[in-house]
Amino acid sequence: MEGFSEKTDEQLAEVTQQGNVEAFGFLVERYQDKIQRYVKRIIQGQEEYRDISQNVFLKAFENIKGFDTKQRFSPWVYRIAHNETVNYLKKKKSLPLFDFDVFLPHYNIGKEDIENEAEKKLFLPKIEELLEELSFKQKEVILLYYFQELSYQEVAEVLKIPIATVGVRIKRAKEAIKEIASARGGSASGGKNI
Amino acid sequence: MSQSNNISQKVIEKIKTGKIKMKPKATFVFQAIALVFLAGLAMVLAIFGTSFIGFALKVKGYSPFLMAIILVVVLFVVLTWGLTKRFPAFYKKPLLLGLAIILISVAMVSLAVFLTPFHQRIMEYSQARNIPLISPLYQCGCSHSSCSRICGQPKILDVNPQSSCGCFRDSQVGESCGGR
Repeated sequence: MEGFSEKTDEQLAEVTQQGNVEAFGFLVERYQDKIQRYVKRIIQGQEEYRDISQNVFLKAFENIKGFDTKQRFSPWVYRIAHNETVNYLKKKKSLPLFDFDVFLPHYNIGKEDIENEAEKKLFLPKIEELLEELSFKQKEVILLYYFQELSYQEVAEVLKIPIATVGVRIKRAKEAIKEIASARGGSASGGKNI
Repeated sequence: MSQSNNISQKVIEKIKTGKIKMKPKATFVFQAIALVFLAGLAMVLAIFGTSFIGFALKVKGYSPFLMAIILVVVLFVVLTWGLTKRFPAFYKKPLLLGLAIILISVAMVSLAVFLTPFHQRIMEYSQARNIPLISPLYQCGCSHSSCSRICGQPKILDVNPQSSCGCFRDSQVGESCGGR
C-alpha cells in the first residue's frame, strides 16, 4: 500500500479501475467509519448496519468503472450508501413513494447558510441527540450536510434532488429540531440559529 | 482489531475470492446509451402521437378511438419524464419544471410536424400497403365517411359499425366516390 496514503480518493479510484484491489482496500479504510456511522444513524442503530456498509463497498467495487474520476468520490459512494439504506428501509417499513418537495420549485433557499464552524461543532452533539425524532428525509440531509460535511451541491448529487430542495429540507429539519428541543424543555440551538 | 477493520478485511477477502467482479466500462456506456435512446424514443413516439391526434382531428374530427391515442401519448410523456429524471440536467431541476420542458417540447415539435404533410404521406403510403400497426392506426384514426384517392387509385371506405374502424378497398365499376 506504499504511496497510496498521498493519493486522493479519485486517484485511488482510478488505480482501482485498473484492477488494483489494494488501492480499493485503502479507499475502504478511508471511508468505512464514515459510511458505517451514516448507515447506522439512518437505520437507527439496527444491527444490520455492518452488513449494509459491507454491501456498499462491494457495490462500489462492482461499479467502480462507472465512476468518473473527474468528479468527487465521496458523493458517489454516499449515493450507493443512500440506495442501500433506502432498499433496506423499503423492505423493513414503508417509505413515502413520492417526494412532493422535489415537485415544485423553491426560491431563495438553495444557497448555503454561512455558519460559524465553532457554532456548528457546538450544536452538533445536540442535533445528534434529536436525530431519531426527525423524518427519514430530514435526517438524511442533516447527516450528509452536518455530519459528513458535504456541500449543498454534493448532497443534491447524492439524493438526486434539486439543490433548492436540499435547502428546504435542511430548513425544515432545523425547525423540527427546534420544536422538539423546546418541547423537551431545552434548546438545541442555545438560543441561536442552528 | 476493531469491528470496522473487520469490514475492510471482509470486503477485500470477498473481492479476492473472485465472487465480486468489476463490471466492465462497456456496461456503463451501454446503460447510458440505452437510457438516452429510450428517452429519445419515448419522446419521438409522444410527438408522433400528438401530431397524429391533430391530423386525425383535422381529417375525421373527434372519434372515441382518439381517446385511446391520447392515453398512449400521456403514457409516453410520463415515460419520457421518468427516464429523463435520471439525467443531472433534469434531476437538478424541480420535477414540475422538467415536466413542463417535456410538455412544451412535445407540443412545439408536434405542431411543426402537424404543419408538414408528414402524416398525409404516411397515410397514403400505409393505405397502399398493409403495414402492421400503421395501416390500422390511420384507418381507425383518419378514415372519413367518403372514399379516398390514394396513389391515383380510388378507394372505397368500408366502415365497421361496431368498431367505427374503416377499411379501404378498391372501388368497383359503378361505385362512386363520395357515395358513402
